[in-house]
Amino acid sequence: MEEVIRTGLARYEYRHFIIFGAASEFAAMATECAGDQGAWWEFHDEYLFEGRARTFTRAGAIEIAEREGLNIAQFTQCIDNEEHRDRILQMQQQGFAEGVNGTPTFRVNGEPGGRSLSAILDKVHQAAEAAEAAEGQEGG
Amino acid sequence: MGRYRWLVVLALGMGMAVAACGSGGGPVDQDGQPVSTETPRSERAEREATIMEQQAQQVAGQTAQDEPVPDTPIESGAGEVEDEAAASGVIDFGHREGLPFARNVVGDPDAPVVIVEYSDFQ
Repeated sequence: MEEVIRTGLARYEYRHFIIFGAASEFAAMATECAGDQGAWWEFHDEYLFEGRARTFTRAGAIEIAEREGLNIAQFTQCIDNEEHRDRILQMQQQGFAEGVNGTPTFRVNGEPGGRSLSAILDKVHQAAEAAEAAEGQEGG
Repeated sequence: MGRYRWLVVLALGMGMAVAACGSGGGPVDQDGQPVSTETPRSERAEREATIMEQQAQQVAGQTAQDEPVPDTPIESGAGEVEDEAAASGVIDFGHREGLPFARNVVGDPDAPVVIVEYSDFQ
């Protein structure tokens, strides 16, 4: 998937879709709080690829924040006040509205993207061709 | 006694056969209880399906009471962030190194295609 992003054909957007309860919701909020300080992807990778039970706690999130050199006072205030709860809920509701019924679910230009990488890439290329054709028509 | 030895062997054999049938033929734990042979993936899928069903009902209820679900995509980097510039830049680590990002979006903001992934970190 990196290739289509690096070549400028597509951009990738991650949306939280909480199905495993409070710990997942906390991790999502911590990631959004880290995002306020430019460390969204560091937290994303930590949770998704290195995720251990401890990191899904307040203390664990603060450890990651310290390691990433974030402003801890700002970060803890953000997680304690659940400042991004509404944003996460909005993503969740958007997911339901788009018919998401499991994770991970991919969508390509608003259409179902399939589950396998090859299916997603096929959709990306189809969508790019469609976008190019539409642009050609608009241009005359 | 020797002439009845075959009866003893037969009885032992039948006993073993009954024991094997009693366990359903599947693997058992130390206490003789059946052990699931399902993969973690299928267990997760079942768990997911149950949770999804409950959450869908919950959110549907909330939505009906509160406000309609927005039908427009969620803005990249949307949120109550005082300094939005701090939430964007260029990724400087890992396999996405060098790619522009804005909070939860990575790649060219003008790219003609948007791949959205809905996921849970766990």
